[in-house]
Amino acid sequence: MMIKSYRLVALFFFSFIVIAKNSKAQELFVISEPASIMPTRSVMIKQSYQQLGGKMNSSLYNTQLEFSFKKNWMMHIGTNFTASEIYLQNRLYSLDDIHSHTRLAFFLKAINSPFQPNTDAIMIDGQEKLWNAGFIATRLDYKWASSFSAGCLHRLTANSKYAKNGIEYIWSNGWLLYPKNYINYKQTNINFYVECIGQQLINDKTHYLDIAPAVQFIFNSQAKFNLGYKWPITDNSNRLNNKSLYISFDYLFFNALPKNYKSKKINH
Amino acid sequence: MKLKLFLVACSFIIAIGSYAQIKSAEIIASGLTCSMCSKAIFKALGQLDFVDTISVNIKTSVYQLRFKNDKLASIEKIRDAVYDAGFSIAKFSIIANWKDQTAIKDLVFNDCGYQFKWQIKTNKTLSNNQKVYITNKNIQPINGVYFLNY
Repeated sequence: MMIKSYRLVALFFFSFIVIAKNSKAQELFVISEPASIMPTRSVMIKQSYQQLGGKMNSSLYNTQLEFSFKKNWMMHIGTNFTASEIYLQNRLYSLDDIHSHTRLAFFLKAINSPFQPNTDAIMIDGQEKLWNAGFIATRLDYKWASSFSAGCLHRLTANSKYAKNGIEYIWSNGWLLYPKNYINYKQTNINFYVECIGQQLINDKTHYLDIAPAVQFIFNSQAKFNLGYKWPITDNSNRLNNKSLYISFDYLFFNALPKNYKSKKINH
Repeated sequence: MKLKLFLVACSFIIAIGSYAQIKSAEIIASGLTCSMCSKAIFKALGQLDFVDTISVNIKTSVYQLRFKNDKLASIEKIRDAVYDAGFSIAKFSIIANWKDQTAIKDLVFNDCGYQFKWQIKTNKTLSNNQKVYITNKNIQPINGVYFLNY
């Protein structure tokens, strides 16, 4: 089973190299956030559904509101109607060139959940109370969009059975498959992403590495439909859910917040 | 005395009125490849009250702006719109009615409501609709001065 997974990963990466030769890149990743910040005063509404599988099946609906109230800052507020999440991201560094950029950001996330952990791995989809903070580095270079984020996870629970701290890391890659040439904003974009999500607990041997390929359709340069599937490449945790089918729909409203929220001073 | 004051006032008004107006601008945005990013800049520029029309080449990230005749175009507001959308400006050129001015090396002059300085190697007589480039880093004025090149 493990050998099959590695072969599949190798096949994916070979496919990427072939695809990348004739394509542009995009970094509107499905699972992770790039170091870029959404446009100032814009608001995004995101509705997602996850069908979780593994030892136990369950489903998660999540509604999220994302907005940028100030240049270089954005915030997400989300809920699955049981747990809630708040996420803050600040762009620290930006080096732009035509059709390329290098960016670095800091993020802070807190999840409030009524559930107690029932696994050694720290569950990051609202199954337990935690905070998460780290850095994101993103490189976009016309045919290549790649992002790496790494952060600390700390679960806030009274249960002393499991390790409280862990490290989470995500490596994301994205390619624009269609259109080959941009003519107008109404063209539907098709993107292909592969993200690898890993977790290593501190003072504990528990770790996992999941792979999550996804396809994304962008309509009218404003709405996104994402479809992805995540499964483990390696996993020695006792997670009840280590596979998930992910579907989401995002809609971006440009200039939605009033102008007085806009940053007055520009320091670029 | 009153006549003198009147004449001074008239000449001042004429002097203000004689300022050239920035008629159009062309921006090459940097740091983006996706149409969603390009649309963010397009939408931000479209919010500026002095912008009449915008034409965009998504592939090359070139935005051509034409300004309303009755409004003064603001270089800062254009810059802020692009940077607030999350991107940078690689090239910023403006077209104004330069009225056969001569671009003289290091000459500081007021026009279009701004203080400019020619940052050029050789002097040149400008045509009426000459495209000139703002060369300040990140299009930030230095002591209120924008540097120009043709």
